[in-house]
Amino acid sequence: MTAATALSPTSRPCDTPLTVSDVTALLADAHATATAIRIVGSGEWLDAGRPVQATRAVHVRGLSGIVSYVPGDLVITVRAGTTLAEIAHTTALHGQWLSLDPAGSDDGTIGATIATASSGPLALSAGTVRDLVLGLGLVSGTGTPIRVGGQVVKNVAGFDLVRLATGAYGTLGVLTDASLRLHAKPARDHTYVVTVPADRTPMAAVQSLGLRALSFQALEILNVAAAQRISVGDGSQWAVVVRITGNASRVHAQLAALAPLGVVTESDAHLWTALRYDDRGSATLRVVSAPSTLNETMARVERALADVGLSAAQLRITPHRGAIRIVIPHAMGPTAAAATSARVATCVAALRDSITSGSVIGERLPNDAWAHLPPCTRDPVSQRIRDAFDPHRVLNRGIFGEHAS
Amino acid sequence: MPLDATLIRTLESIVGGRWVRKRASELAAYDADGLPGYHATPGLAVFPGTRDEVVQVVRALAAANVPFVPRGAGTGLSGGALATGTALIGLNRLTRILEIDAPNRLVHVEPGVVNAKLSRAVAPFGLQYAPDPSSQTVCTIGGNVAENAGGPHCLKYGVTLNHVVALDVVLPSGETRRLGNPYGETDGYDLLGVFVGSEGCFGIATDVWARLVPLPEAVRTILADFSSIDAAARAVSRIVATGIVPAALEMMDNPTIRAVEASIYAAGYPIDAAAVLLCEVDGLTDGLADDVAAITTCCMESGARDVRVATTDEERTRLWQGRKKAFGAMGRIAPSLVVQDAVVPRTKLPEILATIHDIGERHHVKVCNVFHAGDGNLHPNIPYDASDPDESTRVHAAMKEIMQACIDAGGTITGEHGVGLDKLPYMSKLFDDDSLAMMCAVREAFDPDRRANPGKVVPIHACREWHGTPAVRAAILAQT
Repeated sequence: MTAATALSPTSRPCDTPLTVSDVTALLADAHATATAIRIVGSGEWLDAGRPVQATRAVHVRGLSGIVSYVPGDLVITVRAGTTLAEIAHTTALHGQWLSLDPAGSDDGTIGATIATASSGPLALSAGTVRDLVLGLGLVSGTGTPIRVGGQVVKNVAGFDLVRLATGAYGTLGVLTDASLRLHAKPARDHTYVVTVPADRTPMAAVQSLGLRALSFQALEILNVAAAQRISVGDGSQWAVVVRITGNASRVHAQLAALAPLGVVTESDAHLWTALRYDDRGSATLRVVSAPSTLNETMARVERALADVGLSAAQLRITPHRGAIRIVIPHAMGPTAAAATSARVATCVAALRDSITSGSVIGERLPNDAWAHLPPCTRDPVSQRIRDAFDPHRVLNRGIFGEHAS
Repeated sequence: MPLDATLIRTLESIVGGRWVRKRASELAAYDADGLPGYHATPGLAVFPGTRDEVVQVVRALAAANVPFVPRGAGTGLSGGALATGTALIGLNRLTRILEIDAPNRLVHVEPGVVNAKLSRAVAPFGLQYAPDPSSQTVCTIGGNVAENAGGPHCLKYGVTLNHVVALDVVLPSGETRRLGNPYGETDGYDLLGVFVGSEGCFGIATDVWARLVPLPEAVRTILADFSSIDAAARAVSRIVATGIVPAALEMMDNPTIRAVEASIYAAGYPIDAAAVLLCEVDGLTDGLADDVAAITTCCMESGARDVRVATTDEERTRLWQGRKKAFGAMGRIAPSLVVQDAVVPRTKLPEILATIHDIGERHHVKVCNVFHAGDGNLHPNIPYDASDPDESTRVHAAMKEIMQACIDAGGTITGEHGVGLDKLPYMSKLFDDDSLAMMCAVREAFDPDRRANPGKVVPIHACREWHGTPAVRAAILAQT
């Protein structure tokens, strides 16, 4: 793999566009001079994705603010640099919310959330980013402004370039604005926690809830380390955290459905905020497989971690999606960090080999670990799409591993 | 366009002689897709019976450089499944449900499986396939994927795109590949997401993996009756603002109510109402009565004359039959029906419905509105006699004005039927040249020769630097 150019936003020529015209001029110049650029939102997730080779950073955080918001339509259009906090604040004034809770914090921008297609526990009920983005403005790698989708909740006019740009990690264009589907906040919103001793993991109990569990707003299982990380349990317990919304009767009925799991305690909604935050420098990845094979997948994940001495990793399981999110905390000191990197790489290689019918998706990994995950846009269709949007590969070059040897 | 005899023999050797139709009398069956005003006869129609046959047919057409149009049940309402002199590939022999994976709420089907049949097949497992276009008793999953079909219950459950998790496709070159992952996530570009709704322009899906959702424990269907359309539209906004997400929220205006009540689909709608709302809530039994009460209050406070809750399954089925067969009921009014599919922001509903009414009056045409109010997805329909040139001219002038009004209101030209041929003229009103050119470029990423469903979805003038083959150019020119 080609080594990534170290990029510090403060030590390089730095560009801070404030308008779409600024972005257009900047990218037209980058295209003309074949200058590779790194797109930066609020900078929280700069270490996400494969290493980017770039000589110039474009900071789009300044491209922020609400463009339009008609509460009755449950649709908001914002500039891409707008933070999730700003969106939450504006919509809350009208009893609405953008039901997205990606890893990170509300200081992250909507542009980065869409570019990385990041979702969180709310996806169980509200869908992922791809289900909530209605329209996008973006500037392609040639400096051409493009508008895709629209501002209405149902739209099949033309090919769905919104889906294509969502999760494209900026490689098809710099996002400039987004129209998003909102939801009215439910009448009641409760968070409950059930703790379970470590020798009696709650996987089977949660699975026994069956289809009824699909009516929850969110449900996550945390291993001991993940529970401890958010101060749930006594350090020897797993936790099931559940969000239940709706009218009083529905909340009551769903709460009753939790009883087989164990002793249910009501918690504060801030638990979900704490759950989103990863310690800086952590390596994170997701393993996804069929929900019915979750126990086997879980055993493989635990074995792969144990084999390299990373059993202290935090695991957050979304059982109904068959997803396990792995957070491996950053080791202190350069020697320890290098050793951890090597162990993470070995673990990723083991997971790649053992998860045969599901997928291993890297979020933030040491460079060595990325080498074990195959580049994902090397097929001819993806390459032609990239050619159309960014012929000189100036946008976030390398982030999909397409330039790796 | 006469198709080469060698190609015909090749196709016959792949699928068998009886599955290649080439006589004019046979091909006449495929000259329309449910939307009057558009007719086109394919040069031949070929009906592969297996996935491998689909691949071989597409490869044979690629080798002969012949354009093709994929077709499911032909119930699209946009002219999208029409082929002019080119090859038509019918997929309705591929009707197998290959696997129902109940523990993972996933189904693997061939593209010719009929939508309603799929939901019936998974019901014993307590599951359903949620997208339910009004044509669900005949339309196919493959067609639903091509059009990103919706339906009344998409308000709560989402459209086809929100349910399809993987596809095996054959690209127009004959190359096959998997898009998405039935049991995982995919990294890289969302090729699955852009393929769904590509109206047959990116290739053919031979295998579909779709997510199923639990059948609700309980369902309540509410009929609210209003003396003004405005009041009904206000009720829609109030209901949505409560945070309750109805499974469906449909509106029918007085001309539609009268058409339905005069037909065999009579549902007991009040024929003197200016509009009725059909609202359905479903889910856990607990709390559903409270939702019904809250919705009833919203309707009454918005000026409803009456709110009725279906008490039996029969009554519920009858209320829905009136809605789902409304298009058919309009057949009693006149021999032809033009159906539109625009979407406006929900708050613009009262204003746009008044505008549509004025446009109808001005052009002396009868507009019947039956639509997905919760989504703002309008279906203004005009029954007329296509053999009357004067009436046809007025109908089409009215439709153009209605579409423009919806675009001006910040809406879009199609919510679930697709662009096809019918909405091509409006695409450049909605998107600028650069955005349309990018759509063309993405199409070329899947189909560099543009042989798959040529001339549909994106207006040809928007596509730059195009080097289509003579056969493709001829096919497009024949349509435009």
